[in-house]
Amino acid sequence: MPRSTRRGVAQEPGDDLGRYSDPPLLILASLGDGPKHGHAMIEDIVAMAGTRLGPGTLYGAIARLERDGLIEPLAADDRRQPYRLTAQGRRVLKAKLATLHEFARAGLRKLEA
Amino acid sequence: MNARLARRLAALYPSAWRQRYGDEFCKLLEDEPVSTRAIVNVIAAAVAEHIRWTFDNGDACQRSLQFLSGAALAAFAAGVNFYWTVVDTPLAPAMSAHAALRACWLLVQAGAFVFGLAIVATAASTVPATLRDVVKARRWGLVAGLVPMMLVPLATITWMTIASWPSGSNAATWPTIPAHWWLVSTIVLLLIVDLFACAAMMRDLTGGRQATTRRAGWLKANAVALTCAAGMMAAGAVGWGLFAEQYAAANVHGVAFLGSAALALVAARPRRSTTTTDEDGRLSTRTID
Repeated sequence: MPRSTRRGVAQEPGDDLGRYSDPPLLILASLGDGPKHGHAMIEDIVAMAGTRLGPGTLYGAIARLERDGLIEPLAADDRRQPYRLTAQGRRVLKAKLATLHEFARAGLRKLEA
Repeated sequence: MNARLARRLAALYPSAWRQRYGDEFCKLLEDEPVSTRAIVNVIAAAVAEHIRWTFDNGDACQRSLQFLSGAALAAFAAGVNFYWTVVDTPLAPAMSAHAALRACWLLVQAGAFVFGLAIVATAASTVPATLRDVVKARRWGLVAGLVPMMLVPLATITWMTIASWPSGSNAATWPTIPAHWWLVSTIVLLLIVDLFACAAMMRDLTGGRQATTRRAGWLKANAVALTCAAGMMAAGAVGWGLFAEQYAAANVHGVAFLGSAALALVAARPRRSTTTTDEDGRLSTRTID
């Protein structure tokens, strides 16, 4: 599945090395503070991670997450379809973020040593 | 992005995917600014989605048919290439005097004959039922998509015949070796494209239908025959290469035939099951035994 296609924020050299750009995780994180439809997710992810997901990438990941039971659709607003985290999705997101947090702490410890 | 472009881009996705996500995806595309990167992203994602829907969904019989169509095209491409590799060389007349060489060539021909019979038997058992379903459900779009797919091998063979037809003073030297390789490479490329189109079309043709459900045993028998036939062709090609001391050519074709045998072997594992499509266009599979 294609990944991000466009960077949304001006960068310093090396800025993108630390950017986490796994689309499913970005979507789960974006839905962490409440339901959103596709366009709102894209903008939220730009603000949160500096990565702009392409429409195809976004919906490929949405389909996968829905199939895995990590997100679920709500009633459509016009033709915009909002999604929210399921209980399982919330658990997976927490576990993933905790792992990343540990990883970041370990990396920082190594730098300070 | 304007609504027309959005609809055209969404139309690139598999039909079952469109039934579920098409409308909201179109709305998202309309909300997004037009850019080359966004269009390329959607096209690439649509291709990936076709591959995923083709090979990850559907019942065992549908997957068997997809693998069988792949095996048939792979073996066909390898066979055409092998024939062209041999027919223009002094090895072709030499085969009449060299018993082992001739035996290997006959083994390849016998394998191709069995392979052809199995393909015809598979098609005879599934195509009428599938077409009945298509006509009954008035899915003319699928028929329209199927026709060019079927025409690709026909057009390829016709073009190959015309291009290689000896004419005038060039009769003895045409096609030249570079032209020969260009023709063969293009044919193989076209057949590979057709292989994927064929598999994707098979997915849509049999999607949500039960045309293949009662034919699991027949499919399995044909898939086993295809596996054996492709194995015979692989052995014949490698043996031919051994006696003709054309190891490189023989290995390439042997591997290609073995690849088609592997695809047919995967196809030889159908189970009786039924696939249905729910209101949202999702496919669900229920195994019967």
